[in-house]
Amino acid sequence: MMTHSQLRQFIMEAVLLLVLGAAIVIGGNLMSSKNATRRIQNEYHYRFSGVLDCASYEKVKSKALNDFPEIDGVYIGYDTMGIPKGYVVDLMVQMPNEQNMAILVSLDYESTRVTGIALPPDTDEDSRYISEDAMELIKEKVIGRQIPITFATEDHSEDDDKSENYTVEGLNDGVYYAQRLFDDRNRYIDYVEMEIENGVIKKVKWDAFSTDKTNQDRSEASLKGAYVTSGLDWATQSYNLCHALLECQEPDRLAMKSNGTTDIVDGVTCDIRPFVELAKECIGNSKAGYGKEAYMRGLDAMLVHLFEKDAEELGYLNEDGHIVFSFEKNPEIYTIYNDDEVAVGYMPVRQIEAVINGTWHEGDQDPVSTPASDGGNRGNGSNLDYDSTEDGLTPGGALENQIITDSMDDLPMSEMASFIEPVPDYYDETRTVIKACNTCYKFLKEYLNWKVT
Amino acid sequence: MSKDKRQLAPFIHTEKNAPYIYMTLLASLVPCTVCGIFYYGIRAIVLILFCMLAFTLSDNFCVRVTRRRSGDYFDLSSLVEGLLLALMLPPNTTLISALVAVLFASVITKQVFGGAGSNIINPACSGRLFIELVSPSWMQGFSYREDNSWFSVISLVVQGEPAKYKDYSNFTFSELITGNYPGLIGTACLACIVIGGLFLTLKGTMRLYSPVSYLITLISFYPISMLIETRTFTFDGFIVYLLSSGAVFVAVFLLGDLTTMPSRFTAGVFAGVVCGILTMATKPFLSPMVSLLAPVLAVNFLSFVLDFFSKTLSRRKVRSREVDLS
Amino acid sequence: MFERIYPSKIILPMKMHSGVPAVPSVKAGDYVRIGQCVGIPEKGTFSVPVHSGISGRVSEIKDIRLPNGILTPAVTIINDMKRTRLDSLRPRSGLKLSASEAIGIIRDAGICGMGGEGIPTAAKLKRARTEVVSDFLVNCLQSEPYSTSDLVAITEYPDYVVSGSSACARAVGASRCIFLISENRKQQRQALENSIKRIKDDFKDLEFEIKLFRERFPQGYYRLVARALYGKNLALGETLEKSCKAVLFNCSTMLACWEALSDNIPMMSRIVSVSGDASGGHNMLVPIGTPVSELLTNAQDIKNGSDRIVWGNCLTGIEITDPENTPVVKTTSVISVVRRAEVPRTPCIHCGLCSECCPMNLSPNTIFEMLNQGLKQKAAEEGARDCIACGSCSYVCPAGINLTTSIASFAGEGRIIEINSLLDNRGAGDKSIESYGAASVGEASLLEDYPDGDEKVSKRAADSITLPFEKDKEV
Repeated sequence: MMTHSQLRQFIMEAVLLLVLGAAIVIGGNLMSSKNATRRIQNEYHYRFSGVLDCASYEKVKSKALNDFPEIDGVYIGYDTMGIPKGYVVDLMVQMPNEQNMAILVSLDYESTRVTGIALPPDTDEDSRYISEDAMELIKEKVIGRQIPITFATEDHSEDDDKSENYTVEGLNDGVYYAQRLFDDRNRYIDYVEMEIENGVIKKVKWDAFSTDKTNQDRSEASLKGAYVTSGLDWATQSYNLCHALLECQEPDRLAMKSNGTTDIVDGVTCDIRPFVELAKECIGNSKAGYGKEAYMRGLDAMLVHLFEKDAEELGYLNEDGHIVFSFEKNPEIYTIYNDDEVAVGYMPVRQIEAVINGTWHEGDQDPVSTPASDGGNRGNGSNLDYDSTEDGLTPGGALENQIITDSMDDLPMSEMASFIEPVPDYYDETRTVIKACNTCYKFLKEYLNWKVT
Repeated sequence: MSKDKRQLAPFIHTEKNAPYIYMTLLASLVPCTVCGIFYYGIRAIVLILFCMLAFTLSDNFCVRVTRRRSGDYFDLSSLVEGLLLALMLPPNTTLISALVAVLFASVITKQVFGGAGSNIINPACSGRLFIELVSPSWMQGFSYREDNSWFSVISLVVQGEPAKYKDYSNFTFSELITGNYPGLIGTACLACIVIGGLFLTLKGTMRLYSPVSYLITLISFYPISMLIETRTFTFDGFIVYLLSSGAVFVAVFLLGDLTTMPSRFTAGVFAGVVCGILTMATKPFLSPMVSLLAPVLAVNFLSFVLDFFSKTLSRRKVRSREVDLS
Repeated sequence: MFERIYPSKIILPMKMHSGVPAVPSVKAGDYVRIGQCVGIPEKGTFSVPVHSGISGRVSEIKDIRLPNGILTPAVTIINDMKRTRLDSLRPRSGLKLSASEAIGIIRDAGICGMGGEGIPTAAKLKRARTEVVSDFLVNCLQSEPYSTSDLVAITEYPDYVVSGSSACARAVGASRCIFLISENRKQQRQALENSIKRIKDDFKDLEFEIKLFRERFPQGYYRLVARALYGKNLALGETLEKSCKAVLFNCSTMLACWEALSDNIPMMSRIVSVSGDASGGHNMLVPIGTPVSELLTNAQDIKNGSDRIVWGNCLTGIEITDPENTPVVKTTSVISVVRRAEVPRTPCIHCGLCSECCPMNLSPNTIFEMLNQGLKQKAAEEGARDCIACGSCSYVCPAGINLTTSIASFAGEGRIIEINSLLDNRGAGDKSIESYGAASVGEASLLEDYPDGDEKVSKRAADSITLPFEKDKEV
């Protein structure tokens, strides 16, 4: 066997080589990592410039990635000043035909809007499941939208969705009004008043009056501290929400979640369900040309139907001219029952009036409203009771235009920020892209939360 | 012959005994190992230790089964070959494929031929080539280091990520020399390989005939091979191939080997040239690793015959280089 | 530098050379003086006389076995420390000697090859003369590890070496006198060059030359020299004289020759290195026959104990266990003292280092394997009989296989003279004596006029030699 001196010498030499090797490797790494970084950046640039052209990219290292095996990598792109421009997400999505496809999605750094979609540049032709043409069309649909995205089942009325001044089509000018037919726990009855000019919602007011005529309205009460909500005072929240609606023109775009709250309107933490419902009713009324006076008459008609007297006679008018009455005790008048006698939704006043007057019947075409929307509206009164459809799309279905399905890509429908139409003939492809966008959303949600805590 | 107990001449013995040779080899591989560990992290450590351990266990088991005399010292050759094999693996090789390689190398190419030193072909080389041929998909992972520094245990067992890095031409010279690019665990860093080679040469446990002639042959035949393969030849591509293909590693640690390569000058040079030509001839048609390793094995087979012929040649050799006639 | 040793007794074996043993010419109780002949070759035999290097009384004559297995009568002389010399041990008055006279002097001085082979120098000279050689080679390459005795001889007595060589070269009729020396031995080379300059004028008919050799072992074997200098591969049995018209002598032999020629000193002492990895290295001028133990006692730095004592150099020598009774003989240039080191024994790893280092370009591992399997014929075809038993292959073998022993003993089976006589050839030793006659047929003619006794011939001859300097060598 080896002598001790030999062994010692060997160990010395091995240690020497170890040090030498480490010195070379570390030194070499320091020396060449500049190149490596540049090359990596070049490589990133080559890959990502199609979606987000940035001066430099940095790979995001997050535990959140572990939950998203389909995401190959998330990168933050910076401009030359080092200011972040956006995210690039490199991920694999499963197409409806079970094939996996690599796709790059870029998102705005601040607003989580999609800024670019592309297939990785080195994708083989064979694995290009989306043709160039389809991609262009899909891009037109998706780019600029806020994630998460879902399919809108709306008809042509939403086709020009992308225009900045989005409006709901078919609105008639005038003042429209809707109030709840029953009071809430605090004995307030919510109402929404909406003014429409040139088919654009110009003014919205959301408030509630108390069934106790001596009490103040809710906004007033909240300002005085008599009505307490979490977060900002209710009046401010109401104002914010109304303002948001003026901007987006469409209650569905407020991204109400299933618990009745929204994330996308700053400073609004309260339950916005009454507002959304009533605003929709107002819009419906507008489409039907059913103005505030008509609405009031409708309410009167209901009262007459029930009590044979109008509001004035019954003394239900308050000083602001609101009919302060809760139809709580007479739910049959506004509730829609299914075959099993289970309440599935509420009828708007307009419909109730028509029913009372006997002018309402299935399939009836309201001459003022657009046939499709109205037909849907009448045919499916259960729109407010969130229906659960598989992925938010029921192509070819004669469903009402404002249908909101429960979830899309495991995201609740209420969380959806954008609604788009599938590109004709490329339904699967659009769906795949949407899935990719929504995966990005889910990751960002988890990643940013994780980062905050 | 004497039946006496006295030791017979010579009474002195060179320090370069078998353990010394193997230890020198181990030491010479240290820089490459450092490089692999630096770039590929724990994954590389696990693979290297696993290969060395598996090789040793397998060898010891075989020796025990065959009841062969293995000498009166711990057989370091197993460690050397295990390490050599591990260094030729991609960093995301699974332990299963590594085990297959080790078993093939140890049992088939080493122990069947008669244990340490009696093997005709290089065990590490044959083991590596075996898994490359049996399942190329196991061996595709040349992925960039940042993905490989840490690992999940399952990926060591079940599958490597087949993220093959196709093109090395983007790398700069300094990166290729210092090993700062995705490749096999130990073959990336040219500087480390050269240090290992220098160390071996200084210690006298490497014959330079074959490595030098091999590299010269590669250099001279590369243009032809490239013209056949792609009809173009660039000097950059040539340098990149030389540095990134692991040819230098093969030259130093496989062709410089004492056991499996010819021992005489003529035969050594001839073997190096043949190996180089074979590599270049097969390069356009085979996968890089196969075209690199298969010629080595071929030359290993040849070396026995070559030694035989070269002996006759050198017997006639004039000893004039012993005299300074000036 | 060297130390002088005055041993308390010497054991003079009658056979220290190639050939038959001399016959003791003294009996127990006789008083001998320095330079006195104690062993006379039998008439008609291939042998050399033996002289005493000390003065004293013969205590006994008995057979001893030398480490190389040779059984020979030996004369033991107890030193009286008076250093009484024979009167004849004085500088020759006139150096006009004929060639045959000079050879006769050398023969009578009992000189044999001191490099290791032990062939009687006179016989070799005579043969060279018959063959009409042109080159007279002097081997100053002491390439064996740890031994420097020849080099010391050159450093201390370069003139003796050069003069002896010149005289012998003239005696055999050579035209060139070539000194072979290692390129690393600058001091010795310088000494030789200076010395050549001094005596060049005395030997105008000779051409002097110094050839530099690489420092490596083995270098001085005649077949290697033939290949290196003349580019000829000598087959077995071919001689340097016939093939290359050259004759090779060791430098110490030349020194002894000049002592005999000029000072009439017979070969009764030599320089021996005592060195090794367990010793600092000593060179000692000792009377032939000095027990090894005396040398070891004088080498202060050698601790008694576990070290191995090797009779001869540590690559080809023989380990001795009884230094008290083992004498230094004429061919002993070194006593190696080496540490006992365990060599790891492993199976052959086929590294090829043995083939690489073999001076004869054999493949020791292949031959070893063949011999192990009993394929002697094949081994011979592989060139096993060319083995010169230098020990290099065993030295380098990483697996610690005793290649040399195995191969050299096979090689030695068929020949006697060619094998290094210092190798452990006890098995062949006795045979060598009996079979000698047959093996040396070519040299039998040399012996015909071999004279008896220790009578000194001092006739003047045609090719006279003048003493270039005064000698001060004392024994």
